[in-house]
Amino acid sequence: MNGFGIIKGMLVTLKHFFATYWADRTRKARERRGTVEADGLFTVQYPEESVAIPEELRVIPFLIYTLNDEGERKYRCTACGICSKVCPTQCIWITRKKTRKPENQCRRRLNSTSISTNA
Amino acid sequence: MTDLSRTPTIYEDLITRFPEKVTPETRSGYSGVIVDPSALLDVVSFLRDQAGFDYLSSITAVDDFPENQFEVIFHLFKTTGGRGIEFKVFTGRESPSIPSVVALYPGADFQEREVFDMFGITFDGHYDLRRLLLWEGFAGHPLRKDWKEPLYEEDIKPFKSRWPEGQGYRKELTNPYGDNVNYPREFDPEGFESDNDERLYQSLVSEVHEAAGKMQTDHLIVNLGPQHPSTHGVFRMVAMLEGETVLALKPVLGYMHRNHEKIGERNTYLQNMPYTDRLDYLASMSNNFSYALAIEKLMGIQPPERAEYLRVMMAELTRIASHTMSIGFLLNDLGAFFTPALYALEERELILDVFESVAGSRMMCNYFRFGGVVRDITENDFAMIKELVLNRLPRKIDELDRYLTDNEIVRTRCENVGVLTAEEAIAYSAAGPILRASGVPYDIRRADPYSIYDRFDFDVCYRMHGDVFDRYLVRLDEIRQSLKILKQVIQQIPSEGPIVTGKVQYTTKVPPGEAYSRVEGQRGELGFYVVSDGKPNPKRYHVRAPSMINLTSLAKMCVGGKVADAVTILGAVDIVLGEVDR
Repeated sequence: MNGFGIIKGMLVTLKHFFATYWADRTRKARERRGTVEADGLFTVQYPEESVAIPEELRVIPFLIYTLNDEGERKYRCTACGICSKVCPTQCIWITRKKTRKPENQCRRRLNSTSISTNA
Repeated sequence: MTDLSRTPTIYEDLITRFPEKVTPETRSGYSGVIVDPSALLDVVSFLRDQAGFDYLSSITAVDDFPENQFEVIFHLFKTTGGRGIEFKVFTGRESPSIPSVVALYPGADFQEREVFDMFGITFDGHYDLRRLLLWEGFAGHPLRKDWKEPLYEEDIKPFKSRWPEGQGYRKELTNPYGDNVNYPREFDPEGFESDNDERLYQSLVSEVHEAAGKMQTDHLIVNLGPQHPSTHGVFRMVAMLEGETVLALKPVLGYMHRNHEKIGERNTYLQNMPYTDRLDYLASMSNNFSYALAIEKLMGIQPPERAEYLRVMMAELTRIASHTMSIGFLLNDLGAFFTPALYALEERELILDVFESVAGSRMMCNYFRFGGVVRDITENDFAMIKELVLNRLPRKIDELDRYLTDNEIVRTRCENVGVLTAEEAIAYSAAGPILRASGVPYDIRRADPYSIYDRFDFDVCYRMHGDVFDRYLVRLDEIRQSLKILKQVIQQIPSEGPIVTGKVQYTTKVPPGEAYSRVEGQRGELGFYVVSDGKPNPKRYHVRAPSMINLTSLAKMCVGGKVADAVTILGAVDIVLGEVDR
């Protein structure tokens, strides 16, 4: 009980304090923030800087479409219904319409979709 | 190899010892024995005192609705390791009642109250049988199969209104007071008066005065919570104080209750996987792990080699993330406002970055599937994990150790606070770091290895004092052991190979039967008890939540200490309210 432990701990915070300024002298310090190599200041100054978002990140479900020459949206969804079947909260509704069967095309087409964010 | 035929199994032993009271389980897919309610206490005391099954893991119940029968299921284990024992007690659906085992296993306290709450099974001899999670005015017992929730649609998802004849609408707009919102006709919400708090305070008073032997007048009942920064969420401790000393204490749970288990019984098997993330949201990978193991046990499949390593890798990374966070926030509870917590969170952020890139989400990972994992890791992820495990984390954990362990204030506040002896810890079914800090080297990864943990070389960390400081040290040690496991994983993981057994399926066919899986979660033994009857959704889905059961021993740890210490002790129990309240 001699206070030595506290001083030892404070040296760690002091190291963090100086590491921030020491790292800032080098050009790469900003790039390193928030990564494994980060030393000193760890946080990213958000509105000015941001971290890269990985490709696998799940966001809200959305429909992908292609625009043809007439500016018409062609949805890639084939209305298979798997999303509404596996949805744990059952917040996805899919209705489908049957179209005449052109060659090499899926017969089912998406009619409408609805995702309730508070179902 | 020893001749196994000569030593009878514990089940055979029970059947010969208690003839006609203990009968074997005959249904296929089920295991264990059936115990007559009249012989329950004899069987349990035999198992505890003579057979060595000193650790009560879980008590839960199943409703066999069309039949007039409830099953109450007990899982007991030995703290010396090895396989457990399971037995069931049957009781009728009209006025169901079985004897309480709380006198033999104090750890049964909350679990029996939970079963009473959810099924309405009374436990004769329980000293404080009140509802645990639901409020006292709640009508019915929700886990009974004939109980329907408000806005009930169907028993099984996917609901027919979604697919195939889907039409987007909100049920609550079309039918605000549906047929299944029901309360008694004579019920008057204005006139409803609760006696729950009175009974709660009375149970505290009777506890203290029985111990003191005479009436005391200068005692004070204080509610800590539900809204209190030290409770890590909406959680209440009711303490009876004399001056600043805690004489008796009772936790009150259920403010965030959503009946995870009822939701789980409506869901198909795969749909439950994202829901398990929401239990212990600081360690979602472990919840996934345990649930996947339970279903794999039922289906009888094994994940491929690479998937096994990926699972262990993720589970251990989660352990590091969760333990660093709990160390940081313990210091927050002590009053070291946020500097240690933020140093700890730095490392957690990096691990969450890995999860984000591997699983697609930082906290709600939803990464495991039955028979494997959902996605392989990329070269980049692997390089980052390598850099973390081999370089950064050991350095940072040592720094955290240097920063906090010798600190005189931390030691004064933590040493000899909230002491739980080894016998008490076992009796109260404490698990995880709490049990191990009390000197019981019981780690399921070693005691009853699951997945591929039998391949790794690691130590079971334990300490002898059983106080808050030892719980902190055990967590610190466990981070180091996790790093040791991770180093071996990085060396041994096959560089390529399948990551899931068989074809990826959206609907899982699960054969009828029951399975209880348990893993060493961050807060202790995390178990999933799943009963299947061959339908697309589970018949029963029960979570043995370690933080809730650890709270059973909270009163024991706090009594005799100061109020300020109760906050520290709760911080060291490290509850996550998502799991406590479910």
